Amino acid sequence: MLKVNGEKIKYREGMTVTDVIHAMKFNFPLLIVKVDGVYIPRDEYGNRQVPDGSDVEIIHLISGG
Amino acid sequence: MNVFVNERPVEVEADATVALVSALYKPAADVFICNGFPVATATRLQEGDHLVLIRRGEIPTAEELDVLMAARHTPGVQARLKRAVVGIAGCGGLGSTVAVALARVGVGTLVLADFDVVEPSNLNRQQFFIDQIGQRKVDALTATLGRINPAVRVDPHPVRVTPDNVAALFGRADVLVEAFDRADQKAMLVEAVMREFPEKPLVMGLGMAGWGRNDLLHTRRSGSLYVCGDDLAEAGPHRGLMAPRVGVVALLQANQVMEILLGRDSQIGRLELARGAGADRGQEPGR
Repeated sequence: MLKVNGEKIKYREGMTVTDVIHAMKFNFPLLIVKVDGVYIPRDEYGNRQVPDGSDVEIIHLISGG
Repeated sequence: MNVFVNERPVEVEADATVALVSALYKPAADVFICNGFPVATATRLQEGDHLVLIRRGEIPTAEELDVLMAARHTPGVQARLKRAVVGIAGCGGLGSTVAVALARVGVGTLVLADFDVVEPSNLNRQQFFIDQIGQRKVDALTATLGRINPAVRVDPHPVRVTPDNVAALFGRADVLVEAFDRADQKAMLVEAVMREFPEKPLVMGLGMAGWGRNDLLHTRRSGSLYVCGDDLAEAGPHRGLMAPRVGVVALLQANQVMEILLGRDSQIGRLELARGAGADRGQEPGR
């Protein structure tokens, strides 16, 4: 089980950040991802595994200011 | 007893009234503010009170101005803000409004970065004037801030913020405000800040297009990252950016900066508690 933005999702063995983003159906091109409070750089999404039980925060970046 | 008159420590007789102290130190005063709040002249002062005496319409000297501007602050706040350095990345709708608010409260140093110049489509939401069109935004904003509060040190950088200059520009800032328009710029800044100084508080603006829906605007925190806005309304075709909603988000950011610099306002906390207790007893909210 993972917690993503407070919502529980099913954990699959070997899940990466990219897999979590797909599982959540996020289609925003620009995201901030933190796993257990640790910021994950964008170029690590594909190979950074998310341990079972992690608390994941995903913030989608949108224009305006 | 000892009190402060325009922040100068003075000794006055016990139970002295505002009128008496004013007659001694500024007979022409017609605005009387004690501990951040206007008072009547018959008010009796107490040990340690901060009394500010102002004459309406009189332009004060530079050192006097500093004290008089802070008259409506909670006592002690200004000294703490004066030591602070706040970085503002981008001087558009968010950044210019944050800068004006923080200059008014007397944040000591504001580091500004923006490569752009003022153009007419900025004026619907940004703190610039018609006669500043064509000027670099950091220069125009520096001039405006100087007209509001000359005690604030402004450090303007007319450059594009890039991953390579974030550390040099903002390394000394106690808090950094993200105030870009474009999502890719916001992403670049978060990435650079997380790499260079992951502990530095970063206050972002996210989701502020359109108008109304105050109920959706809020601040959420994730460690040292604070996100102000609705997280929803992206600027785009048929979703414009306008002064009120962008301004609310900018001021949420400025207000969050205050809390990071000063800690949580304990007075508000006490009121919140009192209201909770009052509600339990079925009474009016406490005051």
